[in-house]
Amino acid sequence: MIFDYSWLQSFFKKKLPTPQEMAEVLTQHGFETQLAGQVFDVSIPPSRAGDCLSHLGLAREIGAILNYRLNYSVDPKKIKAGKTGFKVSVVDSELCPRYGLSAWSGITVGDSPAEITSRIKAAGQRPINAIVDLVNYLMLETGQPIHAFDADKIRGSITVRLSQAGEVFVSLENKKYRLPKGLLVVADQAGILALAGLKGGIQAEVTRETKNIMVEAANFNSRIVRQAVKEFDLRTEASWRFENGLDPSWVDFAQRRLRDLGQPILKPDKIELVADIYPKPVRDKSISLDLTWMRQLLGVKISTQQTEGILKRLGFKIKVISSRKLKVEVPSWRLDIQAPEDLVEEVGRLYGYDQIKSDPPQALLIPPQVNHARFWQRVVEDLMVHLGMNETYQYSFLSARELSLFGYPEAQAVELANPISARYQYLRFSLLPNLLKSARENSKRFGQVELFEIGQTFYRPDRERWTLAGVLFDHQADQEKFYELKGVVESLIERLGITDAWFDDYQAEDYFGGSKTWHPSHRAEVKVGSKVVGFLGEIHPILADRLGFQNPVFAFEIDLGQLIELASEQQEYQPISPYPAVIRDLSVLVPETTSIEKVIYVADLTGGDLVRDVDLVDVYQDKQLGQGKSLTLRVVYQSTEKNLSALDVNKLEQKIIKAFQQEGWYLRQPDND
Amino acid sequence: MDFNKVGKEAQEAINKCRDLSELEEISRRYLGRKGVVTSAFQKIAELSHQEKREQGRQLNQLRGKLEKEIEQKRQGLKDSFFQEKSERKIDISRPGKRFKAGHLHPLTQVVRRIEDIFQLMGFSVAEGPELETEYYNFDALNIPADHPARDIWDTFWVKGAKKGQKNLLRTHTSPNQVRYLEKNHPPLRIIVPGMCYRHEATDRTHGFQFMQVEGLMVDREVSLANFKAVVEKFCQMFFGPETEIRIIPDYFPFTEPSVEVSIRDKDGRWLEIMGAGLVHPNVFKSVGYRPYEWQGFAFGVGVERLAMIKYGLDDLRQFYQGDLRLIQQF
Repeated sequence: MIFDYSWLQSFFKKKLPTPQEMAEVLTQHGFETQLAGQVFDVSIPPSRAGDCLSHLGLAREIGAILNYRLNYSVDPKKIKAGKTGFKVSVVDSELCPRYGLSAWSGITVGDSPAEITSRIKAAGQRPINAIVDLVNYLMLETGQPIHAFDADKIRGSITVRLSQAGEVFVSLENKKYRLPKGLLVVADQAGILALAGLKGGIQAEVTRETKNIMVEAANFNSRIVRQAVKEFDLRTEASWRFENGLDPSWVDFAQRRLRDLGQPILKPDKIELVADIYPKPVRDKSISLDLTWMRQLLGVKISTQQTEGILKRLGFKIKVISSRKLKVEVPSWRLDIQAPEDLVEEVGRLYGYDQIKSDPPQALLIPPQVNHARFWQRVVEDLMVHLGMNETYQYSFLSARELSLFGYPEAQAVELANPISARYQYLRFSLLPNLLKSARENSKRFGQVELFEIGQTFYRPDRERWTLAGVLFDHQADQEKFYELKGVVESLIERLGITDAWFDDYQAEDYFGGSKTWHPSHRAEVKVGSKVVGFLGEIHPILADRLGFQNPVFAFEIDLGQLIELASEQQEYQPISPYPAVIRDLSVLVPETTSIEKVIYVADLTGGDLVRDVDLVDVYQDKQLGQGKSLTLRVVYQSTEKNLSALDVNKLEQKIIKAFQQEGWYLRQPDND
Repeated sequence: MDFNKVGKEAQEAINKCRDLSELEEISRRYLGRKGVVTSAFQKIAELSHQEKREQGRQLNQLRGKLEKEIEQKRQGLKDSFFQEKSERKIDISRPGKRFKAGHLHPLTQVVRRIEDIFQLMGFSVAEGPELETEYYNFDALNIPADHPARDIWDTFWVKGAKKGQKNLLRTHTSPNQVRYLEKNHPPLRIIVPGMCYRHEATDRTHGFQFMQVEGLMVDREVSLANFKAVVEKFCQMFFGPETEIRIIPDYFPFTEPSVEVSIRDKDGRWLEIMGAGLVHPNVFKSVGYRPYEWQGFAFGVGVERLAMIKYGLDDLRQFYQGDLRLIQQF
């Protein structure tokens, strides 16, 4: 809210500190303040919106902080009830705890005095006419919204009631609102005069010609006002105050203040009270405060006297019960003070948190628990970085267009009810769309782009999947890049100590691989046991083209949660054999469709314990070979018990060759060159 | 054979010799399989016993002497060779060869540092979902529906509701206070890092997506002074030992008192880094604890904010653009 420095000054005889100093003081006491010339823009915290959205409210707070006496009073004399015969009724006192109405007759509406117009202008409002300015001024001063109706335009009596479905309300701006059932309205016998706490209607609008007014000061329930605000997505100065809850005692106070202020301006013949309906007066609230507990919570020894002083400055009334207990009576406007901890805050806040000295907590020396997922996340991140991948964070949102482009089923994606824009309508089903977009951007500046991200992906019904994805792009890439990609995934699996992971042909099923994402014949599933934990491959050329890539781009996406569950830190030490290893290469010709994994597997299995390792060192494909491919395997023979002789190795090698022959694979003589 | 003459000749040759290959040639000439000395040994077999003994002795002497001389010369030549070689200077100003390595995102580095510091102070790291229920994000945190305080958090709501239960993208990491307290018994100390979302316009310092770290300590007695000590230690470990902090009042429905923590920058300005406070008794109540039986402090710190201050970045959105020109600087 905007506050005028000189207006605030008017509440004190004593000179206030400079505007700069005031801004600092307010900020330090919980009212974040920006200074703009002679006015302050203060963010009133929601807890204080009930009593501080007014110059009087903030002045009260300033008085408490600076220990200044407030120089402000209102004539306590009640407005006399007149015999107007005008009927007012409130249907539900829950929703309208107090309703006050006074009748001002024979008024003259001119321009407002300069003091009023200059102050409401400083506070950011536009002067209109003496009545409107007056009620606005009153609200800015006291925090109580006031509404003035032209008394001659009200037909019959006034009822505060709930709206019927389909009722129409026409606002001051001549805007029509069709109401749902159950909003609180102020109505006469013909129609709706005002949306309670929100907006006045055109029907009983006051103008310069107005002679008689009905002035309403009411206390409306914050919930019902909020309901109307939400219904019409409309917030007004009045609703802003009602929404936070107001002190019902202000209803009477505001009427009296308006009388003091308005009499010389509007010059009415008379002011009479029409109604003050307040069936369940709010009783004074008192809270007992345990000083020992308070000192312990704040961690500072504030004396009883200091505590009393602070609370009194804030308007609380104190009764000392014992050396450690106070009975604190809460001022009616402090609706936010409900429990002793609220008093602790008040004392701490005004005592000053900067006065509280640091005091390290005393706690049991318990080492923090190891977070398994977090531990492995670091391992994975570090590994990715070692492999040359760069980490990114992307937004967690996707558009409908992206879902369909990648072939993710829309029905499985989590949709937002209120997206920022169509671009961010869905929660990401996969990390890849945004990661690829980012790779594409980077490819304009880098020859090679290697990115990864770890983050949540989302699917229906409102579930999350902790996911790792990576993208490799190279302006010079060829099919070999697939194996670089696979190498990254293999390193990951190895680093996590997972032994039963393998790569399988892609089978389209309803897990998280998008149907249009992968190249139909350059893609694979990552499996652990029989579970699919991820995908890797070349991005579908059509998709890559749509995304703006001019060269093949490769990616993997893995369910990191599943993978990490299987991770194991236990590394079993394999004794190093004291006997030398014998290394021999075998070149074998196999059909093109035979998987290399199978050939290695046959060699490994046939060789048994004495074959320590089988590696692929070369793949050769050539027209001369027809439909086959030539593989060169490097076989490492080693025993942990003895020196293997040439004869031993020959025997093993023959065994492997024989096993190959049974599969229909034949040896090629290694070239002599 | 004149041993003296042979010895002298050999010695002269060794002395004159200037490089290793020449020396090896000399060695071969005298001590090799067909060398002068070796051949002489073969010849003495034909001599008489007496002569054999005499010449054998002399030959052994000569061989020993030559072996020693050659070895000495060899060492000398090697030393001067290496010495000479060592004098050739390389250009150390030429750039080193770089090995390809990736980079961790600055936000990850900041989160790791936060985790490490709090772990040193006995805080465990916990996690919670990004897709939250209205209950955990609001109700359990003393923010009932229709409470004006809900307006502080502009919320992304998920389409569709089940049994009146609406889901949302968490607006803060605070739901994990409740989630953790439900499943664990105090005393406890945790931090919870994670992505949060708010339905608001983005600018340099606000994003609709951002990372937060929640902190919670619960024990029989936990004071604001305790919080101050912990947060001061954290700031000094994170920003440097001279870091000054300031605590001023703030408002959160789930803490009472509520405070805001700032650090002082180089220019003396206060930069807000976190919201915090003492856990509101209603939060303990909503997890089924007896109110006033336990006390605690809680805080929420913005990761981007810390990263921006630490690294001098001025636009939060940069963290989410995946731009390698940024990431590769970290």
